[in-house]
Amino acid sequence: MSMVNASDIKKYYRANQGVFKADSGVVKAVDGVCLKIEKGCVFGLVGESGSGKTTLGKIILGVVKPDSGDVKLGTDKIQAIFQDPYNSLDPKMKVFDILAEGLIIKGECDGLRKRLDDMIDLVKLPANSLGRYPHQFSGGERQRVAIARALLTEPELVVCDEPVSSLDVTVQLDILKLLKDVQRRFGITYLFISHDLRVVRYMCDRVAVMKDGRIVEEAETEEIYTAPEVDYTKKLISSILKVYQT
Amino acid sequence: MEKILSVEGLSVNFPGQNGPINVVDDISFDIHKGETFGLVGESGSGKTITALSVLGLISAPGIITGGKILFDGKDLLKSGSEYLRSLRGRKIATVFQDPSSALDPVFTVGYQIVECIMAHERLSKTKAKDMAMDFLKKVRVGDPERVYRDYPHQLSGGTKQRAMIAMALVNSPELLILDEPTTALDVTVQSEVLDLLEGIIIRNKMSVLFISHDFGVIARMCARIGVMCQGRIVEAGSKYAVLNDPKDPYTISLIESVRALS
Repeated sequence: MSMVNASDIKKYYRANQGVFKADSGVVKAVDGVCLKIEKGCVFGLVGESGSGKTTLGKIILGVVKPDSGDVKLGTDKIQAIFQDPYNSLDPKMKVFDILAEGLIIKGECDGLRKRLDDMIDLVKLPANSLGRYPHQFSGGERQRVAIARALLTEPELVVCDEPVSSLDVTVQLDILKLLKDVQRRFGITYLFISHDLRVVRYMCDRVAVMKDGRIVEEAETEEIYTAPEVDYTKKLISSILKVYQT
Repeated sequence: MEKILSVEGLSVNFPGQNGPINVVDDISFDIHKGETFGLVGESGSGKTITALSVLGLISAPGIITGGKILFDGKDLLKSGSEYLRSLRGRKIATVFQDPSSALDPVFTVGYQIVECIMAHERLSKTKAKDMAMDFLKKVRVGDPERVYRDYPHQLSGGTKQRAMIAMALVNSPELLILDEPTTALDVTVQSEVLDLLEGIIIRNKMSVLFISHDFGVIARMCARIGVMCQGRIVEAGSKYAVLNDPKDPYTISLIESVRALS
């Protein structure tokens, strides 16, 4: 059975809605998307800003209600990792409380400290991290806290929305390796949203390209990158800049 | 080849919790006439502070603690603020990363370009307007008339950045500083703007200091590059030497990360 099965999802927002705005157009954030993600797959959703990636991610998460269409999930154990850990971690909470919250809500208080210690170890944070506040960490470490929080409740599906976009490239690679490692170890399914084509190629088994609220092309990762069929995908792929010089 | 800019032993300090931090730490580099020199490095490596030093825009609590910045043979660090003001926007022009914050939201784009022309040249308003229109055409914005009349919020990021480039070019600067000019843009727009810049730089034989965190962009635009790390230039040379055969351990690890992701 597939982990995500979404059919004909639509979400429109009314634009220019304001006191001084006469015209109220409609932004078709997601405009008739069908999405099927198999269990254990890392599924990439790539597109430029405003293409509807994040809205689609939020619909899968159940945070945004689609105007029409149907989302079937193969699990209720679902988690999210967002782009900016400065915003996604509460600055007034210690890492211990940030991580423990989910488990306490679920009523899993036995051996809490041990589970948190193990998780800190798994995501390679310093041992004394639990007693610290988010601002005492670097950007990369903060993202590790966000990953730890997502993993603690043992999710089967994780929506990663631009999880490395605010990080420097060496840190990006460390975080991606960690995400890949835990994905394989626990057989988690990822919906991996990114604007960065290189990051998507590194992470994903399968890729869908979004533009103006629609999926314009979907295929196995290598296929998308070596033999794109749609003009827009070709344009995207050709805009990747080479580092190695010949 | 003649040098347009020569930075020698530049150091800049900012106060930190445990005493001053050398944000730029004894760096030296030259830019020859007609050359695009790239500074690449991760966030906090000191790239932008280097650019701001050249522009004479380091303000308290930052202090330039040593070195020379020779532009046209004159040491900018010994020049008065009036002289620096006359250079900025005329002989040295800059395009920053975020066009939304670089443009003033309460004036039209056209007004701001005209203002930039008239700050440095005695021209009639109509002549300045013609010039502004001319440069908006040169940077290939879709509808120059409309862009001239529009306020920044009415334009897309790519168009705003094109307008910023037009503004930087109007006074035919001798040195152009581009600080992450395409970082805020989508990849397809980025490649269009890089194409545009490349054409302008080659056609006008411009001298450029190009700053970016993105090795792909730097490799595309620059002949010679310097890699910055914690305020120092750890490695410099032709892009072929630095990117294909790096010698410094930091550069090696950085380029390995970049390669793994491409």
